Amino acid sequence: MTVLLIGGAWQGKAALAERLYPALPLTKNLHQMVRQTLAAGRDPMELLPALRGHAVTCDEVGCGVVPLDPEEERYREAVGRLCCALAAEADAVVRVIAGVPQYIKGGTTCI
Amino acid sequence: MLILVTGGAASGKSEHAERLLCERAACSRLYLATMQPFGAVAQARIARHRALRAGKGFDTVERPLGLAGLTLPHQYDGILLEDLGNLLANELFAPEGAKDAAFGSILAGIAHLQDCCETLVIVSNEIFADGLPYAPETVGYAAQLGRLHTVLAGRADAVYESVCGILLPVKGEHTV
Repeated sequence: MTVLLIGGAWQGKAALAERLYPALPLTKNLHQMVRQTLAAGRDPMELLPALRGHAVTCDEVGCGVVPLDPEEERYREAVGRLCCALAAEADAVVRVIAGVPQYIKGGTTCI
Repeated sequence: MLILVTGGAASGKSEHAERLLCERAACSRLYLATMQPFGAVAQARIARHRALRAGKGFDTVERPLGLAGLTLPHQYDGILLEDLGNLLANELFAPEGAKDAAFGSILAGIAHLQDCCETLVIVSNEIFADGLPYAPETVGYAAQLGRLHTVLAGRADAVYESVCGILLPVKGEHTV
């Protein structure tokens, strides 16, 4: 089972992942992994296979003003595209606001 | 019919907006592009959107601003306006933009587009949640985009937010 938990920073995503999906290995802060992968000169989409079978948390970083720095814009785009790809194959996608889960794909409750 | 599709960067909103339009506009479809092709990132995005639209029967018009004065060859079943964020930036900051009159100019342009088609789908951008300090002109830009969203959402038959490629109903139809 693969689960993506997205939302703003400091919303309790990791704690929620541990509570809702204790059997899954937890990969935290996918957005930071994307930044490191870009810094190493590699395509962040390479991260996708290793995420399968995990509960993955990622900050929803694309909801701000478009950065003037092209590298920062590329980073946001890469996080967004990777999250779209991961969400497409995930069994559940949970959007976390104030520690409260919204099951936007799969899960136990659909909004 | 007016539909607003918003979402963060690379959240899959374009794909959903196209699908929503194609489901409603059976035959004649217009893609109205507002992005100016300045820089490698813009050109890459334009190329990506062109590839997404390929083979779907869209006419394409590139019009960065001044939509109220746009003359189209005929009525369309559907028009896809992509995107509101670029349109506002062009009206505010481009030399030939409406500047202080940008807000009203954009609303007049959208009303004109609605007269030119049965279904208008507008793509826009969620840029309101990073909480970072910006220069006054950027804050003013974001504030005007937020106000446009609220006005247009009030008029829209349906509003959606795309999140990680998942389309969430915000208002109106729940036919996703």
